[in-house]
Amino acid sequence: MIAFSEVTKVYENITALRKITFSIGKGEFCFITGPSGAGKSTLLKLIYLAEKPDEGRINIAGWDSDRLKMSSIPYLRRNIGIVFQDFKLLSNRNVYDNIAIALRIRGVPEREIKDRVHEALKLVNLRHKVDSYPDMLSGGEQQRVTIARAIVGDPTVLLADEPTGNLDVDNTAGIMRIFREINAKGTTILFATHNKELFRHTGLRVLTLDGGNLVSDVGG
Amino acid sequence: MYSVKLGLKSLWRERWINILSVLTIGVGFFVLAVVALLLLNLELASRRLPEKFTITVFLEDEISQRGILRIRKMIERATVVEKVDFISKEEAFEDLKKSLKDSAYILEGLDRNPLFPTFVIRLRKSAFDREKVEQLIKEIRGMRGVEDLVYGEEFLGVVSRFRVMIRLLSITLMGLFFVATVFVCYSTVKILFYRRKEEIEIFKLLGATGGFIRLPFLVEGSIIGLLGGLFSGGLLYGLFEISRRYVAGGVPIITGLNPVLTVVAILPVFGVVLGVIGSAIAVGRVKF
Ligand SMILES: Nc1ncnc2c1ncn2[C@@H]1O[C@H](COP(=O)(O)OP(=O)(O)OP(=O)(O)O)[C@@H](O)[C@H]1O
Ligand SMILES: [Mg+2]
Repeated sequence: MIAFSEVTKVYENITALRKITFSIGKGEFCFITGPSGAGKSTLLKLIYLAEKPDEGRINIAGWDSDRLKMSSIPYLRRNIGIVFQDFKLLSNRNVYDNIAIALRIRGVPEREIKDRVHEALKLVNLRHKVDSYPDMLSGGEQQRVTIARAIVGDPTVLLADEPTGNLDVDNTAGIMRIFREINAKGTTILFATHNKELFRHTGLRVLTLDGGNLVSDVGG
Repeated sequence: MYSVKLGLKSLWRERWINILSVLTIGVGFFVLAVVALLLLNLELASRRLPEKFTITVFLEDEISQRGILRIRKMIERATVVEKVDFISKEEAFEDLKKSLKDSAYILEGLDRNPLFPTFVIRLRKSAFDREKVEQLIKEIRGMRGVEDLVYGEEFLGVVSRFRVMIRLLSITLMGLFFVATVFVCYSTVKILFYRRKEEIEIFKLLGATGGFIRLPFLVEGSIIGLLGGLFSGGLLYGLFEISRRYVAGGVPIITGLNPVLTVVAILPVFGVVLGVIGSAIAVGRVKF
């Protein structure tokens, strides 16, 4: 599903990723961990094509990153659900519209959107906040809106960048349960976190980055 | 079409800046239309001038009837000629006598008619063409049996230069205003685009196509152009009505224009086209 080979990413003078090689199969649930600044977010950005690799090649669902036409990027992204570390919610739209936008972009009819948005909100326990604006929500609530937006489109790949960073224990457990359910239905998941508790006893695959190097690849 | 709805929403949300551009475009179009109509009127008026313009051809005294006929045929062949009148020596003398009225006695001492037989050529008002007229004059000069001719050479030059100038001025003005309108739409949409930059970045990450991102701005630009055009059309129509009703006899240069209503109808169309062009340039190619 996702394959990196010898991928290097350099920002000005910082090497965020150095010769990274790994591949993730369809339906896998894989954690990416490592200290702050290790390159976790950068790795995910390369997958959703917000950044281009300086060296090496990335293959996503059969698409080669350096042979991809710019006009097909949107269609590739529609298969990827992203939980951004910084949320990226639209501050001038309420919760409903923030989630619905992911479907409107695809031209899904409004009636279908309504059902799917409510279903996604139910999953993240936020049905009572459907009319709120992001500024009126707590950090954890905003994070759950972001998760709802990422899963509402039934993506084949879900990229989650610290999706539980702002959540309490109960909500974290809830989100983890949702992710496991989605994964059980066949969605490939990449989950970046520095919280080792999340994967300690799961037996799932864990990629560890440190200073831009892939230092371990265990489990799975 | 959610994308179109986004454009309409933004039109309302950013109404102040949009109203400002609509007014700018509207006033600009209005001035342009008035100037264009004035120029058009001048052009039409100047087209009527050559109608009064005649060439008088003096023939030789002893010219035969056949000679007269031959010259007449040759002149009539020219496309710029509307009418050729022949005035015989005798008719010319009678005319002269009539115009002298009481002083006609001064002619009594003359033992012979001092006048020439003449052709008076009237030029066609449409299809007036300076070069063709000069060509004709040259031909007539070269004909056998022609003594001399009189024509307003200077006048002819002035008319034609005047018309070239009007045409150049209109084209320059139109061009300037078109560029200005495109620019107003361009800068408005550019501002709106930058204001929504963050939102657009998010749309892109969620999988929006270039078309989805561009369309709201094109909708917005075209509506700004349309409203600007309608506004200027309204102003023009208002001016037209006021001058027709309240100015005694009407201001001929405005009321005399039947193209006013056509222009009123065309302005919104121009607005839409220029609005779309301006906003398309402003948004440019969407990069991912
Ligand atoms: N746009 C950028 N320009 C310059 N440097 C950047 C940029 N983005 C990231 N970096 C640098 O690249 C390195 C990796 O950053 P990245 O965001 O991938 O880390 P991370 O593992 O996600 O950290 P965190 O756990 O804090 O989110 C860091 O040193 C960061 O400063
Ligand atoms: Mg990060």
